[in-house]
Amino acid sequence: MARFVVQRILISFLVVLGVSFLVFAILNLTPGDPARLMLGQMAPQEAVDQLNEELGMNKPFLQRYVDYVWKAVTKLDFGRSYTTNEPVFSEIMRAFPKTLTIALFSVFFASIIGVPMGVYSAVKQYSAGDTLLTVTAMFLAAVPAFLLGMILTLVFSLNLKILPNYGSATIKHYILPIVTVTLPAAAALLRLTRSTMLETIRQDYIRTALSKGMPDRQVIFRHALKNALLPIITIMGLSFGGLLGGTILVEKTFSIAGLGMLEILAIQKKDVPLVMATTIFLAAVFNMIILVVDILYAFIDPRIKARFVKSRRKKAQEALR
Amino acid sequence: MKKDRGQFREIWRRLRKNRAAMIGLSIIIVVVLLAVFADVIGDYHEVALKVNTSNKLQPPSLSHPFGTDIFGRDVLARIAHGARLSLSIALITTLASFTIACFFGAAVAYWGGWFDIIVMRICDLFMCIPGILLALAIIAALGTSKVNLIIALIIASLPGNIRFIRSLNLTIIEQDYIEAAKAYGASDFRVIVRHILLNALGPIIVQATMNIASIIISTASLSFLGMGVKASEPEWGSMLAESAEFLRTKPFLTLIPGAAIVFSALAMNLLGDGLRDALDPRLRT
Amino acid sequence: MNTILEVKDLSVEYRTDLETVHAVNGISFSLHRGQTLGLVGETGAGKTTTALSILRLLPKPTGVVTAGEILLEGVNLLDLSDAQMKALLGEKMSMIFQDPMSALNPIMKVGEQIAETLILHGAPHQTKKQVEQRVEETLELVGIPAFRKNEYPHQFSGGMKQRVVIAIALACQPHLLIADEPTTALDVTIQAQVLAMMSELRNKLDMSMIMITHDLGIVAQVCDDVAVMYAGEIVEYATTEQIFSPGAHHPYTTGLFGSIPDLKGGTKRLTPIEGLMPDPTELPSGCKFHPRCPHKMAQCETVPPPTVAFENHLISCHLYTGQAEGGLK
Repeated sequence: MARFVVQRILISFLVVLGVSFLVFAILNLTPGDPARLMLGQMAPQEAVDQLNEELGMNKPFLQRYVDYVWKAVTKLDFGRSYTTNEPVFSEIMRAFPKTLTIALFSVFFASIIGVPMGVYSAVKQYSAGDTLLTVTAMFLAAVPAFLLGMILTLVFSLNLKILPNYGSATIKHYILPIVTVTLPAAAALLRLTRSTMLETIRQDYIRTALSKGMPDRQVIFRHALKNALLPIITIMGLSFGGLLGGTILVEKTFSIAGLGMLEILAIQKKDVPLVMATTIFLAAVFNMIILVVDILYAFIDPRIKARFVKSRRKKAQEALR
Repeated sequence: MKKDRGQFREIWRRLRKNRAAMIGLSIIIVVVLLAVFADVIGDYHEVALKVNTSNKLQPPSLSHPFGTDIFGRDVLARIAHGARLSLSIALITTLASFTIACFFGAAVAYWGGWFDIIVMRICDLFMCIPGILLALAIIAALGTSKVNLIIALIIASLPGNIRFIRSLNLTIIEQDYIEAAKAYGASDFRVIVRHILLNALGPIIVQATMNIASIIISTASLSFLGMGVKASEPEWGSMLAESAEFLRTKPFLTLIPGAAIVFSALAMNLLGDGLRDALDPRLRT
Repeated sequence: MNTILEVKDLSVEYRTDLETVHAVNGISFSLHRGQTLGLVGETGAGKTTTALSILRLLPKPTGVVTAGEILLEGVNLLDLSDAQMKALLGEKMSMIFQDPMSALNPIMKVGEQIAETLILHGAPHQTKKQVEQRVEETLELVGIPAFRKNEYPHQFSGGMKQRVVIAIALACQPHLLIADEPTTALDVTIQAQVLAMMSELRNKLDMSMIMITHDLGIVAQVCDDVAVMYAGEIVEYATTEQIFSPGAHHPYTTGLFGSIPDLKGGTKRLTPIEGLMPDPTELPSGCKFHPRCPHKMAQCETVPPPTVAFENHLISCHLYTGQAEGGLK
C-alpha cells in the first residue's frame, strides 16, 4: 500500500508539471508584448526591447518553459507581477489560504451531506423524502454559484442582517461563501451517489445477500454501500473541479481576495505571470483533492493490487489492437 | 428507414408520458420563442442596448413588464436578446464540441494503439484543470470577445466529451456486428460512421442536451466575471453582475436574469434525463 | 408422502406507470420432500418470477403477487411478516442464481460470505471458531479446499464461483433449494460436474429442489417431475418419464421437445415452434398458445382450455377435452 501511495504522489507531481506546461503554452499564445504592457504605450522602443531581453522573451519557447519551472521549483520564483512589480509568489501566498479554506471546508461539507443523503434517497426510492431531495438537487444543479451567493446575501445579510457579505476578516465572513460552494457540490454528489447506489442495489450479489435472509438494512450497509462507494469515490474527485470553479465565482461575489479574485484581476490587467501562477496553483489544489480521494479509494478496495495488474494487462491489450 | 421512424415514435411516446421532461420541453419552447421573437419584443439597438438614463430603474409597468435597469433599458427586451445570445452560444459550442469529440472519440476507440494513448493522456491532462479555470486561461490568452468565449468553452468541454464518446464506442466496438461489418469489407470510415457512431447516437444526444445546460451556466458565469461577452451586451450573467449593487433596493434586477439562467439550464437537464429514460427504459432511476 | 411446498393459483404482475406485465397467471403445483421439480419453458415464460415470488424477492415496488397462496410446510409465506420471512430465507429455503460471475460480492472474502448465512441463522451462542469450522466444512462439501475461504471472488473460476454460490445456499442445510438455470453460464464440461454435485448433495441432505431450466438434458438428468410453462401458465405437468415418452402432450411441449435433435431418429428434421412468445402486457384471449398452435380450433381463441388429467399427468388443452381417464379436474 505504501508503494501505491508514493507512486500516486509522484504521478500527481507529474500531472501538475504537465498542467503547468499546458498553461504556459496557452498563455504564450497571447499576441501582446509583455514589456510594452509593463512600460506602457509611451515608452521608447529601446527600453521595451531591453526589458524583453531581461525577461527572456527572445529565447525559444521550450527554453523559457524550462527556465520558468527551474526557477519556480528551486527558488519559488514565479516571476514578478507586471502591474505591481511584486514577486508573484508572495501575492499568491497571501491569497492561497483563503481559497484553500473555502475549498477544503466545502469539500468536507459537500461529502458529509451529499453522500449520506444520496444513500437515503436511493434506499427510499420514490418516497416523499427521495422526491424532495432529488428535486432540490436537480434545481441546485442549475443554479450558478454566483447567483446562489447573491440570493443568500439578499436573505441573510441584507434582509436578516445576520451574516456579513463582504471580505474575509472573520470566521463569520466565510459562512456564506462556504455554504454557496457547498450546496451545489453536495447536490451533485447526492445525484451521483443516488444513481450509483440504485445501480448497486440491482446487482445479483445483493439478491444473493437477500436470499440469505439478511435484513434489508444490513444488506444496504454491508453489501451495497461498500460496493457503491468505490465508483462514487472515483468520480467524486473529478466532480470537485466544479466546486473549485464555484470557489472562483464566490470569491468575486463576496469580494474575498483569494486566488480566484487574484486571477480575475490579473486577466483584466493582462498580467501574464500572475495569471500563469494562479492557474497552476488552483489546478494544483484540484489535483491535491483528487490525490487524497484516490488514496482513500485504495484503502477501501481490497482489489486495488489485483486491479493494478489487471489495468496494466488491459492497457497492453488495448495497445496491441 | 421506416423502422427508424417507428423507433422515434416509440421514444416520443415514452417521453410524452414523462411529466418532468414535458415541463422541461415547455420551458425550452418558451425560451426559444423569446429568442426568435426578441426583435419583436424590443429592437436590439434601440431598446436593449441604448442608454436612456431618464428612464432608469423603472418599476414594472405596461410598457416595461419587467421594469428597466440602471441605464434605463427595458429588462424584458434584454432577457429576450439574452436568450438569443445564450442559446446561440450554447448550441454552437455544443455542436462544435461534439462534432470534434465524435471524430476523435470514434477514431481513438477504433484504431487504439499509440494514437489512443497519446490523445487520451492529453485529455487527462486537460481534465486536471477545472473547466472554468481552463476557459479563463484561454480567454486570458486570446482576449475577451464572443468568438474567444466560444473557443474557450469548446476547448474546455472537449476532453470530457472525447472521453465520453470513446468509452461509449469501445463498448459498441466489442459487439459482434462490428466484426461482421469489417468481415464483409466495409471501409473503416463506413464502420465508424454507419455502425459505431449511429449506434451511439442516443446517449450522445442525451449528453449533448446536458452539455447545453452546463454551457448556459458557464457562459453566464464567465460573463459575470467580465470574461465573456462585452459588458454592455444583454447577457444574463453580465445583467446579474450589473445588478449586484442594487441587490437590496431592486432585487428583481437580480432575480429575473437569475431565473432565466436557472430555468433554461434546469429545463435542459430535465429534458436530458427524460430522453435518457425514453431511450432506455431499463435504466430508469 | 409429505408435501414441503404447495403453490396454489399464484398470479404475479409487474406494474410500472407505463404498462402492466402479466408474468405469472394462476399456476399451481406441489413438491414432496426429496423431490426435484423441473420448471421448463422459454425465456420470459415466468419461471424466474415464480421462483422469486416463492422467496418473496420480487423487485419492489414493481413486482406484485396479485392472487394465490404459497405454502411452505403448511405455512402461507404470503401472510408472513418481513422478519418472519427473513428467518426462513437461507435457513429453510434458499436460491442459486443464474450468473455466478455477478452473484458474489466482489469485495468480500468468499468465506465471509458463507459465514454470513451461518451467523444469521445459526445457534445464538456459536463461537467464531464454530462458524469458521462450518464454513470450511461447507466449502469442502462443494469440493473447494478449505484454505481458499480467505480469497476474493475474482480469484475463482466460473465453475468454482458457482460452487461457492451453492455453498452459500446450502450452508444451513435448507429443506428447499431453488436453482435458477445454475449451469447456463458455465462451460459444458463444468456444467456436468456442477449438476452431478447438486444431485448428490440433494440426496445427501434430503432436500427438495426446483430446477429452472430450458435445457431438456438437465431435466432428464436431475428432475423427477416437470412443469412446462408458457406465458405465465403451466400448460403441462408430468413425470420426467411421461414427458419424454410418446403419447398425449400439450402441442407446446411437443414443439419444445421437437426442437431437440434426436440421435436415434436418424435424419429427422428439427421442427422449431413458429412465431414468438406473446407480449406479456397484452396476452391473447382463450388459450395463450393459440396464435402459434398447429392444432388450433375455433374455441381456442375464446375459451381458456380446461386442465385434463391422465392420472397424474396434467395437460391444459382443448385437444383432450373429455378424453381423460380420471375425468375433468
